[in-house]
Amino acid sequence: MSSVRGWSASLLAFALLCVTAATVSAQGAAISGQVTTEQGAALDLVNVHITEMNISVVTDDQGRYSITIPAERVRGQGVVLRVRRIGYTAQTRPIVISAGTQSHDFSLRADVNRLSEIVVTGVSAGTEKAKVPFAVTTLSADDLPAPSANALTQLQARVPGAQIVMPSGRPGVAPAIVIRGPKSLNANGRSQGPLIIVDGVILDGGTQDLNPLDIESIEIVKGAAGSSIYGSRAGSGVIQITTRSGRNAAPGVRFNVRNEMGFSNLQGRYPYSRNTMLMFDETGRNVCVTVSNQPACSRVVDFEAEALRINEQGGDFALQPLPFTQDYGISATPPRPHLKGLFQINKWPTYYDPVEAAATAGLYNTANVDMSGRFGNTGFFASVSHLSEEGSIAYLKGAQRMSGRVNLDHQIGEHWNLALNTYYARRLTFQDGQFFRLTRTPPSVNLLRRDAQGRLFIRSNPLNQGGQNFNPLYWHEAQEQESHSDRYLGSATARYTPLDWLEFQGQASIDRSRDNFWTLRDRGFRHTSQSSVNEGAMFTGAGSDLSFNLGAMGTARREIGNDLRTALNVRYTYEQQDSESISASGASIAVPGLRDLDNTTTSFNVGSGTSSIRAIGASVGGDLEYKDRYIFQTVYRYDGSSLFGENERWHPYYRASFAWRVAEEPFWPFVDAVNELKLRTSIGTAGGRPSFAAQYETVSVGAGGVITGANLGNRDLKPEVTTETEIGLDAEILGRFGVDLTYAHAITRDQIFLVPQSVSTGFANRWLNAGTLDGKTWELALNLPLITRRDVSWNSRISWDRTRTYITELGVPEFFQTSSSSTFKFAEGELLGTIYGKTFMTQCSQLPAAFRNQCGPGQEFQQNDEGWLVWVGAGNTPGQGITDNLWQSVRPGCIVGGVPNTSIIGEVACLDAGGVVNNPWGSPEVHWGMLMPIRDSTGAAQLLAVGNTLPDYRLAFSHTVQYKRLSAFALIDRSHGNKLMNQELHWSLGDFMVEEQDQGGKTVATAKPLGYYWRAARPENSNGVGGFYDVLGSNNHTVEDGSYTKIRELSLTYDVGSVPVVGFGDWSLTLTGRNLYTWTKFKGWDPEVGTSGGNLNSSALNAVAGFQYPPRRTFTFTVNTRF
Amino acid sequence: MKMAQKAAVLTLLAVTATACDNILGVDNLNQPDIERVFATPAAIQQTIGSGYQSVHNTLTSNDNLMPQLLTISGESYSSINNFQMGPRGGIPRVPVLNSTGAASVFGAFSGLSRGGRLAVNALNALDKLMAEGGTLGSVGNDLRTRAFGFFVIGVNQGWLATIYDQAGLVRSGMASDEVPELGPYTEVMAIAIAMLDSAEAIASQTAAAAGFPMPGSWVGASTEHASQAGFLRLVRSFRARFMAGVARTPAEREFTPAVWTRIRNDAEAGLTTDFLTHVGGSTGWNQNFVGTLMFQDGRAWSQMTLMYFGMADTTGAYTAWLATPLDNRVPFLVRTPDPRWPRGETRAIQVDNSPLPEDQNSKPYIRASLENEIGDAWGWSFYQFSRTRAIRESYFMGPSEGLFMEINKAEIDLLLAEAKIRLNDVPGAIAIIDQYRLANDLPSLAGLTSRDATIPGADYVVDGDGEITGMTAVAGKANCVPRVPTSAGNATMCGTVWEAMKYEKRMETAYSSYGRWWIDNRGWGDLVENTHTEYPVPFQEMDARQLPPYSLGGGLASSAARGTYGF
Repeated sequence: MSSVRGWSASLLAFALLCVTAATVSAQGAAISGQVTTEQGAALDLVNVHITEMNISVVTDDQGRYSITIPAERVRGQGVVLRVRRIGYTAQTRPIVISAGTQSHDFSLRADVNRLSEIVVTGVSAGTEKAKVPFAVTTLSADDLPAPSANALTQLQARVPGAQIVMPSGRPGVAPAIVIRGPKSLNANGRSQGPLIIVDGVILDGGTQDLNPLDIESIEIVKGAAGSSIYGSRAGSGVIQITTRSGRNAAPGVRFNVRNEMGFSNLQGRYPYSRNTMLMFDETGRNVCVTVSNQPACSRVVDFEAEALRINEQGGDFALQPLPFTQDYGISATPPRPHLKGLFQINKWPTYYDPVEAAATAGLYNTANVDMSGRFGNTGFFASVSHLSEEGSIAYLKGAQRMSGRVNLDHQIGEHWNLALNTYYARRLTFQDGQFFRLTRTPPSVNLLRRDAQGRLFIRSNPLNQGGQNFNPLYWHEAQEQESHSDRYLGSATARYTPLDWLEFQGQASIDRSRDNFWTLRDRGFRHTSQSSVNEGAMFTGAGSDLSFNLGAMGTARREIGNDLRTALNVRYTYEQQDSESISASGASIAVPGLRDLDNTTTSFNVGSGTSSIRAIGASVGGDLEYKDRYIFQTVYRYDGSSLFGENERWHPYYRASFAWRVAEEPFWPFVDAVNELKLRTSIGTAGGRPSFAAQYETVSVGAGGVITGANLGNRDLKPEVTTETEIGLDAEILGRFGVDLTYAHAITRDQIFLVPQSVSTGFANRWLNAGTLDGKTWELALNLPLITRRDVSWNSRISWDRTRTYITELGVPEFFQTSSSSTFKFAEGELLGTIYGKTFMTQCSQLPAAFRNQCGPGQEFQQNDEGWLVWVGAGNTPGQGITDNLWQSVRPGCIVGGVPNTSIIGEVACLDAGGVVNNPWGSPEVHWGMLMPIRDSTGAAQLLAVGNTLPDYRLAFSHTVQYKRLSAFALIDRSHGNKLMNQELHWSLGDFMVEEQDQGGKTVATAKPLGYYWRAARPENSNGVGGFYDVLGSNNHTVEDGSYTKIRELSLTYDVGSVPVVGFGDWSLTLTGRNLYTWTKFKGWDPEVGTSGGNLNSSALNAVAGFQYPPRRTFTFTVNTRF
Repeated sequence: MKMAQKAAVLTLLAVTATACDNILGVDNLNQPDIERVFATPAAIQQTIGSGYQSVHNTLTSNDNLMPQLLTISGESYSSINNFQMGPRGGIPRVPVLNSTGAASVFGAFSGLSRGGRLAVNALNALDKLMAEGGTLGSVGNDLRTRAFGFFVIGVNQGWLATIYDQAGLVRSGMASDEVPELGPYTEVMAIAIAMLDSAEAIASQTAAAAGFPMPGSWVGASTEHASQAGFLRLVRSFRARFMAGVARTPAEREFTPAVWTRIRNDAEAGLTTDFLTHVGGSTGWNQNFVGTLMFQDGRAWSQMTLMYFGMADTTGAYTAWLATPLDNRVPFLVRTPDPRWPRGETRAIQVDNSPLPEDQNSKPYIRASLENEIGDAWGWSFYQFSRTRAIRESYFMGPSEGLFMEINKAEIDLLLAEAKIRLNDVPGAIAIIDQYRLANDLPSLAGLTSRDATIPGADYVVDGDGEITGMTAVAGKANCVPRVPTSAGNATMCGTVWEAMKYEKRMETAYSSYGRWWIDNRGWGDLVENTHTEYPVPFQEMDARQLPPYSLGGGLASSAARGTYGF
């Protein structure tokens, strides 16, 4: 009975409790407040959230927020109210959810070192940056005050360890990125660049299509020590881009309208010669024409009149010009007497700078409208944008991009969240410039001149040795070339949080692109050669790429006791990339003006390709965090890929990381001075996948069924595996100054290498795993908020890095490879990126030992006025060449017993009767005053290291200064010690069109004949003369110092605020300059250039100035308003 | 967990794992592999059938050795670096430097690699055909295809043995992953001859007749040589060419009488017409060589040096030229009764008498030009060898296709003449040589009985147009053709029967087939001193085999000695 009574009492009490609770909760709860800075300024866009209840709101313009909790969720529970905004230190406050209203205001301290930012890249679960145990660079839109046309270009000089190079100034070109040095000895068909992820979409194409103004933040994980969770594609690091979303949007709709308009032009000049060796009559305008059996200059013609004649009277073709006397160049070798006795001193009759003629100030315009906001549980961000870049070269159209984005974030009930990101871009690019022709146009040629029919000259250059060249501007004007690209990026993410400590996430992402291009040289397109038929030609093609990745993830977090936090993360991913392409061309256009391939009637050519790549990854990660200061993370991933050989389909990757926040220790004595000090170390592995065709045996079948074995195939082909060990420290001093210092050591084994096979196998090559790269990187980042007052602030950032990568194992015999004129050596112990070439002597010590005592003032060998070592004969000086007619002298080749013996090779055999070595190199002669390459024992010019394309260090400074409504930003960076192959200049040397070949202003003592600059075909024997032009081979003259200091960005913004006349909006005006000025010794346009291709296959590594579109500088004015 | 549940879970896991592996198996749908290439009899036949085309394309490719073979033999001259024409042709000769990374052996490697791969491909196809049960559908077809397969491999190996000091010793039935060892050129040539023997033996079978004529595309649309008899003549011509051409030195070319007898027999049963292939257009047969080397308007390419061609001169100008130091020589006007040269007493007249040839048999073969060439003094002249211009014109001006002289009847005829001289049948040789001399207004050698007998000059009857209408041989007269340098190299003398044979062969084979002058000149001892007589195996192949590279020529091993003409 008592028990019955007891149960009844309990039930009654429970009923009463329920009734009471129901009465209270029926009122609901309202939480509100304001968030300000320490200085009292209202902070908008602050995320205020209660994680336990999946509630998240954002502050408005006044910094106010309001959370309304329906009665049914009010249970008097204890929760944590969190406020967070990028750039400020997050705060938390425990509260109790009870009926009625309550107010909580927050004052946020600027987080100048971003320690409280959440990092999501490389970690199992979102982690405060202060606790991330490996190096990661995070950038927000605030860090990028002058967004450029490309999303990643704007990372230049902002990320220590990341080398970001614009390979050309052509509008629409994406940068080449190498992080912490190359990881692959042979990146053919692959990339040295990092894995790039945008809102969960693994990019399968370039970044040209992205709208930089959509970006909210970028995280860069630089190597395997942090990227293991991404497995076999992440050995070169990961860049994760997050676009703006509705996740943090305030209720209502806010618009942002931005228009940036300006122009871009070329900086720098091209060093054209002002003199020529052509023979003119006494007027200086009429060039002499060679007539057989007639005296010199028996016939003359006006240089420009001849150009007009050959262009105007040839109908559809340019006529062959008259043979000018001494019209020497690459295709018309000067005879030896002229090489040694002719000086380039005749002034060109007119001087038109061809680059000046071709350069224009092209429009740069980007218009962007976006809106963000929230309706109920749905936040959104949407934008439309149009970019137009005309570039800086006449008759080239540049590039355009139109894009639109809609990002949605929807909260469904208490446990579900759905995010959708969609982006579409259409990009148009037009033809690239004919820069080869532009740089090789002699300065006396007027590229803009038109004939009586209004046509630009097709052969503006009437020199015969320039016969292969045509007027680049005619080509720009007359050829039509267009490329269209449609790109769609989309991702859907569903997040389910059934419990406070448990979260599941599923994601599907897609990168879909379609490209098509066409080129039309219409019927009537003029030619320089009369042997060509000018009936026109057309090329067209299309490509289609579909890349998608699916992922599922579960994360469990538990706190054990008060001090130990744990997290367990399990992931599964599937990736697929399908590509198809087709191309076709034809010639002899039937009817002009059409763009239909059926309109061509001859020379049909077709091609197509298809490939599919699939990969599966599964990973598990565990995090332990003890007392907020001991952080231990592990990741294990197992990757399968269709790119691995059939017998090596699966490979594991791992990461183990530890961080110790020393300043959190009770014993830390310097807490006031160094309030944050994190020591971290991480070791991880990540990979590099083979290219699609590498594992397969391939045979090509040519015309007539001719078969050629190409790739022997390899079923055991494995991915490259980079094992990176990273140690570093992150510190905050005096609560302001930030220091990040990192040392990373990456060893990449199982290099995927194309190894030549014996021809007797029937196959040319085989992809094998052979070789190891060893790279060491130092990175330093300093954040120096020098002034942080309410009205005045000055923040400086400094970054510095240095990377050195060596080949420690090769597995195949060492070899040289030339990529766009830069010759690299692949050998064990070699510093990667070292250019090899002929080395002209500058020091006596470079002479063969037997001759060093004959070197110096008054001796046989002396330094000339330019510092090169030359043979002048004892008692002579390098200045006597003309006065004493010494340029014709030749130091004989090998003499044996007083008799020249041309068959003897090498110094050891070259002994005269007295047993004295009489020639340094055996049979090669030495010509008076001419450059002397260092030779080997056989007399052949040696290939020696002449520099490295990778800088000794890179250094960048940025300054952000704000005074009231005015703010200024400057970014200056320096690349030091890197060398660059100047192919442009080198080629022009061959045609005597370079300023340094001018002898007009030189004295009798310093003037040099043609052969000094030009090299006869055979340097290895007696006929070799000179010279710097070396048939495009690299040497220590044409490989130049590529060091530079550059004003990369400069912007000045005035925050106008509201404008009463307009009546709406918060306005700002910005003046921006990009790539403004470069200090460099490099003789070309700009040292920041490169070409892809070759084994290294990266513009950042090849470093060849090879007729690319010159880098442009841009000036713009921006009007921005938001409302 | 119940057993059934466990089984279900395990099954699911197994299926998932299997599915994963299946997903990761992706075919390459872009390029075929060997299995696909030889999946059908038609493909086997196609591979073998295109084999000679591959040989042609290999040899005539611009990136092969042909350009430099022209300059090192004195057949052509160029001062420019392209294809190593200038460096190889310079005097004094320099070694073929073959250290790792040397760019100068690019052409040598290109030739070796293409040849090596071609041999393996053809062997693979032949092995498939000869495998048990392998047939193309009829005995005749099988036999002709097998014969042609052996022919292709034989010719290919013959060229490798001719050019390189070593090559892979391929053989029938090699495992696909086997790397055949390198062997000396003599062993490689032995394989080549054995392969050609097999081709002849198989094609000679009665049953083989049913398989002929072979498809014209196999032999560049040459109807004559697609027949059984024509094919056999082709096989024997190549065998004769290789057996004689393999010699690196005059001493090596002094074969035993048995070898010369075999060469003679093959040459006698050799070509009765030129072997011309139809190239260019959509035929798949390369025209590159024709396009860039046979004749060029450009002043830097395909220049005609007078070093050997000057032997035609009858005025003493060649003698004076030889007596001048190398670097001081200037071109001279060649005046000769030989109508392969333009007639005329002045350069202008010779230019007027230098019409463009209508075909490869039009005379003059050589054209004078008013434009001066550029280059070393000894290298250039104002003559161009334009016999092959008609072929080139058809590519660039006409239908972009035409006929290419793979091997001409004159080469085999004059090889036969050499064999007869070697076998002491000088009258027999003179009968052949005279066929060419008399056709070119050069007096007969009839009556001369020894190889070293001096040839006569002639009294000519000339009409008002300068054309020769009559000719009387005059022994001892100075206007003999050829007039050849003495061994001192700075004077000349009337040639001999032997020199007359060489002159005719040079004139008739100039700028025609692969390395013709170089091959003959090395065996006759006529190369410029220190010219390499063979190419080293390029470093790329040595590297692939993990063997040390080596250099030849230019004073190193395999350098020509100062020879007959003292060059």
